[in-house]
Amino acid sequence: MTGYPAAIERLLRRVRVELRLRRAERGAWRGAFWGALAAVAALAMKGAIGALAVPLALALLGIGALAGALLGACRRVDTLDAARLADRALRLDDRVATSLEYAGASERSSLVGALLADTTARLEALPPRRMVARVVPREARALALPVLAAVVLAAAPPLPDPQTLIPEWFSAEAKARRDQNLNLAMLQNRGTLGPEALRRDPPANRDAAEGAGRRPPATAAENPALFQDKALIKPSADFSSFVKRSDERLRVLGETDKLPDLRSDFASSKYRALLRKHEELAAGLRARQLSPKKLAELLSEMERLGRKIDEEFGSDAFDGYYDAMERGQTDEALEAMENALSRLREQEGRGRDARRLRGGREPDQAARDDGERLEGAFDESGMEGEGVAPGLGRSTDAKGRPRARLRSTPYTSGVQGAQRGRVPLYETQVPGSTSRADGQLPSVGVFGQYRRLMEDAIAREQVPRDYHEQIRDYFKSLNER
Amino acid sequence: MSAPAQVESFVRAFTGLRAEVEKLIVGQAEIITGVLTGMFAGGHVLLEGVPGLGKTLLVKTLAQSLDLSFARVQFTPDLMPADIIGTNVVVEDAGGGKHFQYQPGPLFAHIVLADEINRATPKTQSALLEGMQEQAVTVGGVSRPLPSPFFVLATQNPIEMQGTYPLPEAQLDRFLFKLQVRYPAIEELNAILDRTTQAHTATVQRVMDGPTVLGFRALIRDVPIASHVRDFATRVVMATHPQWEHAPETTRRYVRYGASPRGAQALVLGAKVRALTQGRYNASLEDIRALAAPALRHRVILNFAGESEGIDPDTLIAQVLDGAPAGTTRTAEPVLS
Repeated sequence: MTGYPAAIERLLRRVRVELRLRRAERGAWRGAFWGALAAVAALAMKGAIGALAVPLALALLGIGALAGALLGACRRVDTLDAARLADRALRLDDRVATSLEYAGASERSSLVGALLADTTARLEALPPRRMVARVVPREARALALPVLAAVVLAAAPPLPDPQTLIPEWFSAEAKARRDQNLNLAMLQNRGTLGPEALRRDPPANRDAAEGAGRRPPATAAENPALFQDKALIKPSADFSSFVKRSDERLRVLGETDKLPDLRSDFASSKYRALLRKHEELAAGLRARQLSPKKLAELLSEMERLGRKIDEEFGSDAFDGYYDAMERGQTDEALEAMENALSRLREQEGRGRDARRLRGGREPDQAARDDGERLEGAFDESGMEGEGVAPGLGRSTDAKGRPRARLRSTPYTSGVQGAQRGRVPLYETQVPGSTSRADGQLPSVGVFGQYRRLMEDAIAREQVPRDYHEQIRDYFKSLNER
Repeated sequence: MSAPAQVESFVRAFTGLRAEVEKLIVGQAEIITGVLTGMFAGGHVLLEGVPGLGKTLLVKTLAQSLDLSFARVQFTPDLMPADIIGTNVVVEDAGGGKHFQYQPGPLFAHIVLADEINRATPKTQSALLEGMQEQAVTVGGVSRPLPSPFFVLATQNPIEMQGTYPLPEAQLDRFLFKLQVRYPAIEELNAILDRTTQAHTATVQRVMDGPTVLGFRALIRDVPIASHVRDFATRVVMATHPQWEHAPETTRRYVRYGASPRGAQALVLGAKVRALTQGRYNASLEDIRALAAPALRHRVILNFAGESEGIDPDTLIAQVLDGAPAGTTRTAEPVLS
């Protein structure tokens, strides 16, 4: 600061002090605001913190204000900033800032000397006044909100624990309790039944028995008396009786090893085998961890098994899968696989319904009156292709399967092109009356068919002559792609 | 002479000169101050206004107040460059021999009034503007310096545009200030009538000579200017450029080209003159603000949108100043935060 007139130096010192005070004040407001927010958070957790919540909130508020004030006061004050502030506050027309800059210059012109003298004279003539205006920060204006919230929270009872707000059904304890009850019920069932009763009939016999109207053997917890020992609950506990019955319980539990192999029974069904294979592959694995090759193997296997179950179970069940595989979307491929599996389950259900003489056409009296209809026919509601096959019930596909329909009425189909990545892909969009009936085929597979149809249509003069060349050009452009 | 005495002398001379001009010119104090500021800053001034507002009278009165040579050129479409810069003519000496001799044109005067400059062809305008910029003219391959101080005051009429040749942007840039002469108020008009319709006419005295003007010009260039004031002038000029990253929205929308570096020079020099006229030894931010419009209004080129919407460059410059370009603090808050 050497070279400045004493008046300028005194002025700058005053400005610095004022500026630090104002910054401290401003920082205190801001710190108080953020401290109040922290206090609100502390009071919101009053239930967990306990009686310390209110003192802690007050401490946070005070610490915030104090920290803000300290940070504001400790900030460096630039000399030129102070000079400009003084110029503005004292209406000195940048005399102080200019003097500050030119006072340190090695060569001073006569005008600079005059400037310094003029500035000094003016400063000494000025009465002391406040130079840094008080600026209230936005946080100070908003401070009332967190303070009000803190007061309300301090006066209100503690907020409930968030964990208790979760429904009991989803809590880990409830789940563990449910599992325990389920296991207990299973053990009770086994304990009341003899080894012969516990051995389940093969599925074929069971189906036949059900079909004949016989009631299947009890499988629910019908006789839990063995494990419902109330000897120790009574006021006069009979411990010897409890011990005596315990031997019986241990014997029943020992029979567990002699139980039929439910897993092999489960695996005896080809549907179950398919399901098990799916679960083995999908369990514990994420879709992204399955390689496309592994997924392809799985789907091929499912398709093969599906054909064994149902001759009509074609690859169209896996259209979504192939589409997703082409795009490298393993998530969607797995989802498509799930859909195919759902179809297999539906077929199984229809097959079982047919064997039990339930479902199918019998509940549909109107359908019985109309007689037997084939797939692809029109029913009385006018819906196309909602076919009914003997013993299979009503088809869920409103317009039949897309590929079959494509072969029969190709005019209802359209070609839709799309650019996916670098490779252009053209697909045939087969619209249906419902979204479930939509299907997609690679355009390469249907392009020749469409071109033949086009030539036939032109040859039969079904298209106006003026459009012949245009249509041929269109197909030619498709062929070039 | 000490600096305070020099400044005091300048203030006295400036005030005296203005008082002499105001003997004949009623009102238009801003225009008179602007013309004098331009002259002491060493630049040329373009006066724009409808006919009859006293533009020519102002310049003639100023020339009478100064002990300097004065020439007036009425620009017309058939005016040729040689008519203003001079030409070589054949003269016969005493012995009967003939030789070429340069006859200087009206440009060889200290104060030149280029009346209705936009009526001359671009060729003639260029001849004048070359002299304004280079302080010299070239005739017959010989460069001839113009007298110093050399001060051009040009006038143009903004409404009679038929048959005119508007000055191109590059030539407008040569003028330090462009002052817009506005219609006088009622009181001023009454005073004009009183002064011009009576038998008594005011006489103007010469209060300043050429060397004094040159001395004041040198003094003005010594006026200190703080770096933040200079930076403010730079940022104001840059804010008229639509390509500048901090340019305001109005500039981006309506301006094709912003002010040139000559604009910044005009701002700083004008600010120094203004500071001295107020007896101040330094240029301030307020000086820059006061001179922004006359120094920049003819240097801001509007685009089609600006022209079609009738955007006034003065309004645009005011918005630039209101935007308080970065680096300048108007309130205490930026310093506090």
